[in-house]
Amino acid sequence: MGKSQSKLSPEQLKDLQQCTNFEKKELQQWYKGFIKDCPSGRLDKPEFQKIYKQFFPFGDPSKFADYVFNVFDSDKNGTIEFKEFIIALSVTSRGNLEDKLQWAFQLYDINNDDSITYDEMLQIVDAIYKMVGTMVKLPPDEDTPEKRVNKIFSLMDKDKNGQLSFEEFKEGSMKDPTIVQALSLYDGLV
Amino acid sequence: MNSGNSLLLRLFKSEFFNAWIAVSYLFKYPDAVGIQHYLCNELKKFPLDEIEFFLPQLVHLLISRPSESVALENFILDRCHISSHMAILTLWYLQAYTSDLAATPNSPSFKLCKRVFNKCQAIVFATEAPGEYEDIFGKNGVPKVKENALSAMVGMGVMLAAFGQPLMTKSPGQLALAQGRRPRAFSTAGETLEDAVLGDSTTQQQHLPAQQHQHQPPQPVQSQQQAQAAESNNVSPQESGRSTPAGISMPRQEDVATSPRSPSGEPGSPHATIPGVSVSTVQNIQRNHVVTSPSLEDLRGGQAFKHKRDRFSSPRYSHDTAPSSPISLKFSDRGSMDGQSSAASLELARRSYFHSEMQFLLALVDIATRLVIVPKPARLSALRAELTLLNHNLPAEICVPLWCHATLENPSHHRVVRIPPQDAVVLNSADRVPYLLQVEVLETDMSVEEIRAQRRDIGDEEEEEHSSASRTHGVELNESGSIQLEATIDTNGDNTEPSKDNSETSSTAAAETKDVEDKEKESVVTIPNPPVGSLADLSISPPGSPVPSSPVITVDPSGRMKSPAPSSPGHRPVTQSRSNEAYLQTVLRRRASNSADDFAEKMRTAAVMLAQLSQQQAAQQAGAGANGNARVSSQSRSSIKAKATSVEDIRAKIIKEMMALEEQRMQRMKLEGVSSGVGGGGGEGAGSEMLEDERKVMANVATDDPSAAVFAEDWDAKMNRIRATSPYGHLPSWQLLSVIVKQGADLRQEQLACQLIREMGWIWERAKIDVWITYMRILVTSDNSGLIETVRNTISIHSIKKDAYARRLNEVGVVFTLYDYFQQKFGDPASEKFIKAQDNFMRSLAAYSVITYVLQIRDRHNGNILLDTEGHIVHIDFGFMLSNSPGSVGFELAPFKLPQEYLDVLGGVNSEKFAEFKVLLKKAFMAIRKHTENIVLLIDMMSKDSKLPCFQYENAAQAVRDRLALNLTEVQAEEFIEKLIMSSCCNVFTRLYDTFQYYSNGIL
Repeated sequence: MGKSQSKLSPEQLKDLQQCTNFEKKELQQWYKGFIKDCPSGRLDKPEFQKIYKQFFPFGDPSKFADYVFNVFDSDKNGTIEFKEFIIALSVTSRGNLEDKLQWAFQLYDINNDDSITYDEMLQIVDAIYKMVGTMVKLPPDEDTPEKRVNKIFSLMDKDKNGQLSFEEFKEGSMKDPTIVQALSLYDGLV
Repeated sequence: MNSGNSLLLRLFKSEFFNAWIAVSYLFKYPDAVGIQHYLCNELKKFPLDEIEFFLPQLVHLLISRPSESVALENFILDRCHISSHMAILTLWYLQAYTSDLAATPNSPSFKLCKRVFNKCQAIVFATEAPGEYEDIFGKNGVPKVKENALSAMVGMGVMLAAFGQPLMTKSPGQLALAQGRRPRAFSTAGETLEDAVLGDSTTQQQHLPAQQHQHQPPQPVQSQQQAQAAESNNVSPQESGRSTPAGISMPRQEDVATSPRSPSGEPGSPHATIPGVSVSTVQNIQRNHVVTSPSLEDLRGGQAFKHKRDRFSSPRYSHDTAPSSPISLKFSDRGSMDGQSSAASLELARRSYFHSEMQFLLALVDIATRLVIVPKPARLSALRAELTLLNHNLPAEICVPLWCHATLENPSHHRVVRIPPQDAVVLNSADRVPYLLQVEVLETDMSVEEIRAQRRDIGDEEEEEHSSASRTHGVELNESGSIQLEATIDTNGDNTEPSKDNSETSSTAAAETKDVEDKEKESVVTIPNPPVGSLADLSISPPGSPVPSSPVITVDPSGRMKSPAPSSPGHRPVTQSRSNEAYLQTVLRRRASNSADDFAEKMRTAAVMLAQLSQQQAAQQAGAGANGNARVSSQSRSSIKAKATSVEDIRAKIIKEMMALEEQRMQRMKLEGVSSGVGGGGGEGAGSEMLEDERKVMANVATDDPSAAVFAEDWDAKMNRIRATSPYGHLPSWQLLSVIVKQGADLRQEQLACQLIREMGWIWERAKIDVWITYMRILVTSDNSGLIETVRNTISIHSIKKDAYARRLNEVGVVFTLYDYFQQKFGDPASEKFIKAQDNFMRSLAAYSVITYVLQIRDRHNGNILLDTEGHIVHIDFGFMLSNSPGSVGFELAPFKLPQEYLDVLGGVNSEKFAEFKVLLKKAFMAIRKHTENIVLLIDMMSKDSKLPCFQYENAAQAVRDRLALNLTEVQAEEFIEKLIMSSCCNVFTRLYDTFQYYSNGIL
């Protein structure tokens, strides 16, 4: 892949059908949409950040976009290709909650060692707060990234080792209906 | 950029934030998706009337700048869901833009306009928008997202943030979804249909004759009955002609069933989509809510504005449910609509309401269209005839947007109950026929039935006595070729039997002449076996005819012309008993006002025939012109010529008959008094006390400026007079609206001017500057029609002077000035009355001087300047402003009009009043200067890619800034104004312009 072709080849289709929950026709449509939005067939980091700036005009989304980009760019080649995009979309729109959480866990586990440290969590939460800015009014016990991370760890770090394992991450998320709700954004809509 | 934007957010969250700031930043950042969504969300918090004020600008912004963001589109549509007024206004604006953009059907603007138009239409008529079918709705009826990769990547990122801070993901998530639903230009599963429909309407639009009409239905009106007749294979020549329209591409296969010209697309036909019943079918999408003005048959039946309710035989809508408060009808979620009969009937009611409302206003506009063809002397009669017919359909659950005060909080719409025909007046202009009419409304929640029940009788019995006599005045048939306008009712002494009536409901306009040979083989439409010597061909409307709403006169096998007739009972078994019942009502009502009806119908039929005739002729001329280069044989040329001559003959004959009708009417009125009903009491009856008024008005109609007398009548007196004679006048919430209906004029510039004037008025009000202005509502119904509110108790200065000369108030040779008028009207200059009037004059003059200067309003001759009964001056007619001026005549160079006669009224340049005037004008100017940005914003937002003449030359917004001399200090600015005033004083150019107007247009 990587070449901007107008349609997916039968081989590509077959491959994508195996790694996503989409049908051929849907894959072709999404491919058309993807190519329309990124005619080169690939999206690099600055372009990705630009999109986020469009959607978050009142804050600074560049850091958060950076982290998200790394999650999308699973082969770590510095660009997001259609395959990476559509797999993510498949997980987020048609995967089950566990799939989604597994996918989300990657964002917070910055060094990819299967656990989220306090520092890692703080970096991500800080990036989120910077992105959204003062748009949302938060309860006083969460109104800074530090407070939020403290709260997360006090609620979810069951073994109090200062790190969140995937199990802790999962359990904590499922207990919080607002997180579950947020993770169902695309359910049934794609 | 980011630091700048966080400052922006601080501004948006500050106490200074208001709708103006929101709108101006919407305008500044059209492509900033996040900002657009944020601001549109904020705008939802402002009251609807503030949004309504900005609606022209918002719609223009939306259409002229297609952007990545869907926020504005969603916002406007969301407001339309909430408010019926907003929905109708938006629909009409979009319709106007559709016409504007028809020349570039592939432009993003046109596509956007068409898409939003369709969606808006779907809201108005509560049908499904094309492209939004079940298969693209996800669970809970929420629309799915489309293949927008970028917004999907943001949405997914937002999901990733859920763990970090779920509270921050809600609104960005919704934003990503909203943007994700943005339709893609490429064809997708869900969109193939939309594209097909859009593509089709595009084609349709392209083929529309780019001129005149352009009401939503591009095809000529079809009555219900015709539609049904056609369905039962009883295809009239009309239909067969229409199915092979020359030059129009065949509709797509799947679209044939509902092609725009197919009768099943008729609004309110039993096939129309009923929400929750047949929404999923592809058929009937979009075609079913073509709004037409009512047919003659509908008008006669009194069902024109309510037939859908009867047809659908759905639960009665009592006054406390739907139609009384459509503004409060919030769309229920599409998903939850299914199976809920109450929701469905609510939707139905809403649809019927909107439909009636639009139909009513279109009917008014179409009357103006038809009047153009009617010869001047008969126009007033024709107008009153039309209105008489219209009156049968009132009261109805119809309001007039802009005039109606209903809001979300107080959702009680007014009801149009009556239009007194005798108070309508034709305002002849150069080539158009606007007319003035009064509309009686009730501000009430009562249902139509309740209103009817409270109707009081006025003079009905008297009318009935005369009705038999009136039957005799049908025009005689003349074999030698004269046109005969014969309402069948006349020849038939007895019209009380329903069965009888059924056969003669078509007011037959039999027209036969020997001298028209139908040789027109190249005619667009061919008629099967046209009888030689018939007028048949004249009655055929070519597809996309410019007289869209006149009832199509069909030709029956015998070659007689007919207005649309109801189908025979067999065609409508289901509704028959209902229609019989309704018919009985009609008959009973008609008995009471027979004579007026006969006359009205004949007049209307004649007007319709004339309209079709001239349209036919225009088509021929166009055809002849187009064939000019192609080898047209001399023979066919001469046949065209011969035909043209005969068409002229026919026209002359119809006109002659109309004149005869009019003469008879006048004659009878003299003999029998107005109470005969011929005068146009319209079945509502008008007692004998009407006589005097009618005569008073008639006397003035003879003069070439009938408006003068009507405008001269004091508003309160007129209102009381009409109220006293109205069957609804005794009801406490009775009100009278006075509007001018215009056709053939784009009122959007007038509207912009009035909006600007209104804003200036508010600026002065807030600054507590005691100037006086008046504001006129302007309702745009298309790019060439609309309603204008009249200014009460005013008369043009031209008319004042003309009247004075006519009555020889001054010695011959002595000029009659405004000062003379003030003396004559308000008495001695030292009197209290005069001083009050002088003060009023001064305060209004100060305001309008600033307005005309800042907006560069031109063409300020005395026909465009009014004076009210209290001495206030009022400017009207804003065809020339900002950057355009009338023709090549560029000598209106004074900053504003301040001739000697104005100075005289003020007491001369050395008077105290003049000094006061100067101070007030300065204050008013400085206040506007302080709020320049408001004025500039309204102008600037409208100027991009605008079709309005006032934006054709320079950067209008910048020029306004320049005129306000923003670079000057306060002190310098005051000096600047002083100079403006002095150079306006008795400006030689002002005098020149008035002289020019006198010599070229006879304006005094």
